[in-house]
Amino acid sequence: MTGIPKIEFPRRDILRGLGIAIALPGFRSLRAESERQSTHPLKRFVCVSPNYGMNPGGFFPKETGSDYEMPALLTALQPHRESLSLFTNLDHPGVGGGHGCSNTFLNGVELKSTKENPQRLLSLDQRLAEHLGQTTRFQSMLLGSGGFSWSRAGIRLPTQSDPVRVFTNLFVDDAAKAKQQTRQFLNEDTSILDVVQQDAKSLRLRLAKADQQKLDQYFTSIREVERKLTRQAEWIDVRKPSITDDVIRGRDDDDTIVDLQYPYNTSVMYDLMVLALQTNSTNVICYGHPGGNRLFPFDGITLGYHSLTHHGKRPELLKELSIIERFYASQFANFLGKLKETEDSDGRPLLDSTAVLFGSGMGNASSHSSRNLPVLLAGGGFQHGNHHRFERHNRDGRPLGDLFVSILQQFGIEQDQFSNNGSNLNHLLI
Amino acid sequence: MKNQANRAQGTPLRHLSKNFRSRPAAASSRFAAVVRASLFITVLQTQAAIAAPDPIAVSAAQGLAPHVQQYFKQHCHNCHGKQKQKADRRLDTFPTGQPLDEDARDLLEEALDAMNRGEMPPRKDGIPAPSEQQTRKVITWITDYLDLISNEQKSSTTVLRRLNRFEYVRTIRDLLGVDVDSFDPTGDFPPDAKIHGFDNNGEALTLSDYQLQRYLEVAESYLEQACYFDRPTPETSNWSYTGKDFNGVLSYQRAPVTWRLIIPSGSPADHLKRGDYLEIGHGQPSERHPNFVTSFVREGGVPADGWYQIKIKAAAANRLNHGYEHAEFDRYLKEPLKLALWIAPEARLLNKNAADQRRLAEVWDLPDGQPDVFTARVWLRKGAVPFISWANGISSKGNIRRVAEKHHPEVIRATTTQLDAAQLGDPEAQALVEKLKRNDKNPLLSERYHGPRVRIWNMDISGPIHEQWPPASHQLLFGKQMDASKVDLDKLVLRFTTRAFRQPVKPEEVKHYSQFILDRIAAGNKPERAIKMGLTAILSSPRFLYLDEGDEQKGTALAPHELAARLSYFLWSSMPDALLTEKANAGELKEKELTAETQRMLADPKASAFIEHFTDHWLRIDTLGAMPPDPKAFETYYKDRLEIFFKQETRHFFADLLKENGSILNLLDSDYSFLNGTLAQHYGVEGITGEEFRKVKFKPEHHRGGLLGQGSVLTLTANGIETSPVVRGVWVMENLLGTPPSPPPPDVEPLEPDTRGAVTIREQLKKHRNVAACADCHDRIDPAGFALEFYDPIGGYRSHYKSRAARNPPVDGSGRLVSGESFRNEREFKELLLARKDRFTETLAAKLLSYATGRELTFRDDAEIKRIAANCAKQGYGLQDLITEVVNSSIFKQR
Repeated sequence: MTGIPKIEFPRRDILRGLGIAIALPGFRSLRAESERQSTHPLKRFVCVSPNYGMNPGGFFPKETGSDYEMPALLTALQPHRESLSLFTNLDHPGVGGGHGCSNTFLNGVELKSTKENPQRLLSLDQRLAEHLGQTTRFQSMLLGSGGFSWSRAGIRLPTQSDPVRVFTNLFVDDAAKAKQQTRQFLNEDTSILDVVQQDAKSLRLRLAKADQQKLDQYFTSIREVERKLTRQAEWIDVRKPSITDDVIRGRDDDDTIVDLQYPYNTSVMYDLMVLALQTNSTNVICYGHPGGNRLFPFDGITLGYHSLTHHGKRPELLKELSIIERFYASQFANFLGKLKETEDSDGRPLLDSTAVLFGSGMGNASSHSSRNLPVLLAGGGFQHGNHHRFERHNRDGRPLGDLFVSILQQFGIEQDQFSNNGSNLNHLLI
Repeated sequence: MKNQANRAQGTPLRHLSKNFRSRPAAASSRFAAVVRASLFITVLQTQAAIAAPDPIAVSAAQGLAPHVQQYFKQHCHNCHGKQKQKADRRLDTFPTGQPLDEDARDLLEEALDAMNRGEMPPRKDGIPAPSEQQTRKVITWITDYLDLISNEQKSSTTVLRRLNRFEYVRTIRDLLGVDVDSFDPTGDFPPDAKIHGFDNNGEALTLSDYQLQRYLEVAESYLEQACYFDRPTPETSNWSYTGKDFNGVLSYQRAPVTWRLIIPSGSPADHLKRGDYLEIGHGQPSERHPNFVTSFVREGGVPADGWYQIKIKAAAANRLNHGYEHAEFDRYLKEPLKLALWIAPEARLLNKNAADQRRLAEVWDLPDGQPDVFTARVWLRKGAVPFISWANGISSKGNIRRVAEKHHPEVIRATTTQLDAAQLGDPEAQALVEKLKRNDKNPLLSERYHGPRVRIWNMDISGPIHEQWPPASHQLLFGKQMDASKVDLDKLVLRFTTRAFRQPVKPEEVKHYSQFILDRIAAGNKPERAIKMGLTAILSSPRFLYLDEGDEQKGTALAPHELAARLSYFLWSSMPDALLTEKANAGELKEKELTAETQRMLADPKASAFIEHFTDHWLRIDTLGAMPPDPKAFETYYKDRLEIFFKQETRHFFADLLKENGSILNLLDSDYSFLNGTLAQHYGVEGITGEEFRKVKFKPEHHRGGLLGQGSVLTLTANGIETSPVVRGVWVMENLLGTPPSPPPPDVEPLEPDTRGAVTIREQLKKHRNVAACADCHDRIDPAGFALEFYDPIGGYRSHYKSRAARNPPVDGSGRLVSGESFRNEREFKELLLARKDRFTETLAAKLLSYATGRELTFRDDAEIKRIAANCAKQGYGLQDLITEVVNSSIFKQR
């Protein structure tokens, strides 16, 4: 790589003002109707989660209140400080250490402890999707490397990490013939599910209890597939929003190159997320940054990501790790910026009606701890601008579930129990 | 809500009580990595001695041991007792005579965590300080106790288990008679959950609506592939191509680069006089730039599904006589040039970014000079395009450019990247571009460069070749009936469900399927479509998707068909074949039949599923590539396709033991393995060349033998960048000795290797082991890892570390086991492993049984495992004998 100018890590800052200029024929009126019926300002939820969390040393501010100094990893978020809240000492009590804890970010429970009642695994995003996702094409969108979204049946949900496929799902209409075929399949699949239920029912009669639980998963899946097929059938003739594929292909009139390789596709994913929200394709999005030991192609990085997270507090490794984590933070900050710039169908900034949660179930990757989780809440609907620090009684901080309940309630879900909460954080945020 | 009263009787539970609602997780989670009940482990550990704490009587039926109660009383009750309940916890209410309930166990685990972290008991005035030894003894006891309880709670029967993806694909292959290698629509199935490495655990396997929807879609596409209603016998076509038909550049057109040159017969460049040929001058293991026949792509690839024969006439040129003195070509001193035949499932996948969606079909060693003809028989789907590449070639941008810069500086021109950079204003690039301008009029690289290359004269394709019509898949379902409207639906459904459900089926049980097909026809579907829908329904039924192991009410012994299915999923990862089903139809499968069937099935090619999948998951070889080696430091890993060869070595090794009934102790140490040329070079073994694997005898200086000498194991236990004795040590304990250590207590700051090499890993870990809380486990874990420090992150042997900071320090592979035996290097360590051969045999028996039954084993299985291992030892440790013992064990024969 001789003779190439040094480029800082936000390598492509293309698609300037993306989203603002896109015309949305027909959407505004259609949308405005449904929005008037709702009195709650919050309509959308986004969660972004890095698998290995964020190094605590650079994530938590020293001072509490509104006058805190922005921590080293988060300096890119300085312009958004009035639109976000930071928290210290939020825990998932009861979640053990180890890599599995990354998957518990949005539900606060481990798979192992829910054998008898798998529905406890339901994650915050999916609970919200049940509420917010009924009027959109996609009830929720799970992007990147997933793992932390769990269905009501206690199943970990798959994600889509290929930006091209995400774009296709969102914006590329099937040809008429393919639609016809899909319609036929939808109809056929529904009838097939009716037939197999008979086998399932007769099988259930003679199964032991543990086996019955497994078969219940089968019944649940049938119901869910039927629901999805119905939904798909409802949407099949609704035209998808028409958007140029600049976001994944780049533009002809400038020299920007769209790199779809990780980690450069991060900004592409964020752009797609803005588009998905703006076009009302979905109201709930989760986006995960993968773990693994890949070597990030940034200047100054000499070791794999996973190796760096086990820094053992050595300064040179922490420095390398901070390059990656600052990259994540700056991409996230750009995303918040775009949500601010982009208008929803009422002409208000998208960010005002969106709650954006950033964080991880991994508190301190170096020790695989599930305590003092990195948590940041941004967007509309809450009193932002402060850093809140909770008391730690011996080992116990405040359950993250308290924040989740406040989020649920602010979305209009009257529920005072979720995950591991003791109460809520309404007094701080509302 | 659980009853919290007994944690802190009579004390108010303020905010903390809420936190504990999800606490029950902890007890089982912390110790989930434990395969076997700790009572057993404790006993065995003393034998194994590689991991031997003092055996302390632990019983799940009892409460806390008196010495633990005593310890709590002396050091804890002051603050967590009747008078004070700091942090709302009191430790004076644990029972001694009766088992602890769930809340009490959670509390106990919290106490353990605090002790492990060294926080409790606090060093304060007025609190009597326990000795370190006392604390360690209590920690060990509590750890074992909690372990034991978590094991007690495990089920001893297999839970209704869904076919995992591996089994599903193979079952489809046998049920429908379709080729599953050329086409795998299950790529986007959610990954199957793994328990201790195995992905066939009934309890862990789940079913989501997403997965069910995929089952529906995938069944349709497989059926599409299986049915041939109304289709006439296809003609076999022949296509013949020469070098000039490929997507190369004609030599006289002044090709700037040397990638693909076409030398037309009779042209000035043609000195060989054997007809047109293509010269391929570069190549990568995973080829981004395929060499294909352009007109064949325009025609849309092959016209129909079927078997095709592909013949290629090719040779290597300039392998040794290239005339360069350059390290770039050193690899060809020892290995031939290799030609790869690839399949692009669709023409669009010839695109350079679609490399991961193409299939490697064959790799051939090329002769120097005189061409040979190579033939392959491949199943191609309609539209597929075969293409070729130089499998062990050199890169045009890297290797060839470096050679050119040294030997042909006059032909060097600026690259696009350099031109771009210059245009963006980079001064360095601008200077370079300016300097290279003077070469513009000089000859081209292709006219000067004479490095090694592959030559292709002909590629002939013929097919589809059908040995029978309708094809076997169609006959399997419908016989010779080509008219869907004439298919006897009741018969079809009865026959198909009997096979699909792996059970005798009564007509009335499956009547709804034939009725469904009739209904669909009545609703306007064509008969073929309706039949496919009916079969899709059967393939989506829980009776197909789950292994039905019968009615628990009727006892735990498996009925003949259930047992037959268990056997075939164990050895074939697929459904029973007709012969096995016949045996089950005839009644009880007794020891004699089970043994005979086991022998027969192991000899069948389908047993490769067992060899592949069992070793992949027992040894975690499936995790190879999850932490990919650094492409800069370990270029050879990619360039030489080491990952796939590592896997193949282990599979060949295991397959050979299976075939020869060889001693399983060879897995611990051996003086041989199975290598091809590339692996032999990687291991420093002389005189082996070529793609083919063969049995190779090692000399002591090779430092190889057993699993611990194999690249697969050594690579998967490193993280791609550096080695960690801890990870390798844990791997040995878990997979060879069956004594996995508990995971580290939460919130302990780990020490990590100094990767700059200023301090050796051993010195780093010494700190670790000087901490009492860590030492107990790490004294057991680390030694095995120390012995393996002689191997770098991709399993290459090293006597010294490569250090970036200091002199290259020598590797110290010595260590001392907890039992007191010490060793100087990996060889002596393996001897100590061999001394624990019975422990290893029990471990392997347990792993086999866990894989065969699809469940975790519990302490209730211990006696039977010991019996199996002892019998195996008596017979000389043969792998076949061990499997026969496993199959005839009571564990295998019960649900």
